[in-house]
Amino acid sequence: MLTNNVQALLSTNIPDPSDFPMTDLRQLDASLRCTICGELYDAPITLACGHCFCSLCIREHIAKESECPSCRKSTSEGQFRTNPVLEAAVSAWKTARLSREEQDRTRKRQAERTPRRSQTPLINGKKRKRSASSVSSDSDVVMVPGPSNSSQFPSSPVPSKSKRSRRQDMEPSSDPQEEEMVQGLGTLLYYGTAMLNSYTGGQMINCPICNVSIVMGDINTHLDSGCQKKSFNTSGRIDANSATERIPKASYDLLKDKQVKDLLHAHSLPILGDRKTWVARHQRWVMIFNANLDKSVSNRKNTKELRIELKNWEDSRKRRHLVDNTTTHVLNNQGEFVRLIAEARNSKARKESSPTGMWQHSQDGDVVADSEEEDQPLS
Amino acid sequence: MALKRINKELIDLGRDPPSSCSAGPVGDNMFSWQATIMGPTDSPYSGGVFFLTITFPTDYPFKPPKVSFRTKIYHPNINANGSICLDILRDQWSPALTISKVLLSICSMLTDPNPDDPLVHDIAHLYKTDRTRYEATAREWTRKYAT
Repeated sequence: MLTNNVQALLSTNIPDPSDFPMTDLRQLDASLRCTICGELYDAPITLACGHCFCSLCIREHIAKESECPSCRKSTSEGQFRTNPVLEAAVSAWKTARLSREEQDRTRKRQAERTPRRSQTPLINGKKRKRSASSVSSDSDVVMVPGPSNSSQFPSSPVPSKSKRSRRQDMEPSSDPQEEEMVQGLGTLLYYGTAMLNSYTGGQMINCPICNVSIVMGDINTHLDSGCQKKSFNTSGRIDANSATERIPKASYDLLKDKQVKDLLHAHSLPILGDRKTWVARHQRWVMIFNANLDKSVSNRKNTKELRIELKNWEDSRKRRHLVDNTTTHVLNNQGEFVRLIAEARNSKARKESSPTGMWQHSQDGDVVADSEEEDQPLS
Repeated sequence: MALKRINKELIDLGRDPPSSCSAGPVGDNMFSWQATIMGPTDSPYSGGVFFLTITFPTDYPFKPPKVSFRTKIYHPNINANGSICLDILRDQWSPALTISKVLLSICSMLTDPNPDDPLVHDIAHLYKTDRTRYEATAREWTRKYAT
């Protein structure tokens, strides 16, 4: 049963660095993946230490532990910086990855047929075109159908067109650049106001509850309002690119039931379940919402899609995989253990037959990188 | 998230298995795995095959997996229930770690026990004071229970 399981998994084509037999491409693919979820970066966030993670992943992690998952340097939400350049690189790689896979498939098909050299470029051209159209249709993977400028078109031909042109021109689309510029402007503005404030005697500090940076003189009014009031003096935190702002964290313990309900109500979220569920729902919503704002504008999802995401998350929490009695489990699956022994013996035999011992295995880059990383938490 | 990441790890293990370890799900429940570790050659556990069970929490990888030995083993950091005293399985867990790395850490723990943070004080004491006797007992237990 197990082997079927693994075989089925392997054939479902979950994208993985090991899709590439060549070490260089494998490393490229691995280096564009978040170490928390193992997926290609989605809304990459850079921490002060320089490590990158998907926005949603790091937000979920930071809710439990305020340190970088890679180097354990302490971090906080205030240090999060979006990384539009990496985001552009990832989306370009996704496209390249798909067309590469298509090429590989074409090559395989050609090898099966009788090879006709004169037609090779034509077929390649055709395939490429087809892969481009598959890119636009497979919007889930490649491009979030989120409309730019918050218009409500589900999946207009606009994103696919930009995708195609990007590939043809081999230069990044203007969006990330624009965003970078606007962000740069935002930073300038931010530091501008900060400097101004420092001249006028106001010092910027982070709110201990919602982590929004705010002029020290205004902190009490801000706290008294339950962090609800939009922090006007924090141009640095407000995304200049869009009309929506990041939702500030709420201190749920200080809120009455009705206020928690109001929080949900403000975002038209369902008020089902008990207080604990409300809080969890709102917390998750804040994460999903804020992580969405960390994407460049053209990649953002609309509110409807975010709601579906929230619902899926709640559903996945409902059907918990309960852990059954492991001892009986092991007894019932003795056969599997026998198979695993054989596997381990094989890999050991392989290891011993190689002259360099352990390091023979680490000839491909992945494993070397892994063992290097592993040293850090152990030391 | 958890299931997706566990699937990814399984694929990774299948395509690129770590040396002298193996792991995989028990039946259809992807959250419950079993694993085997071959005793490292440069340790008194050499020649033994050790079974482990791995249970993933629902919020994996944000919480560490529960890993425990099913085979009796004489080790300062592993008790009679098979519980393992390893920092990365407790407070030093990081979502960037994987099962493959955890198994490799356990392997290196078999070679180099940590007697300063012991789970079984008697074994740790023996390890510090009379290494040869510790190794003899460990070898004896390996022969008795793990082969």
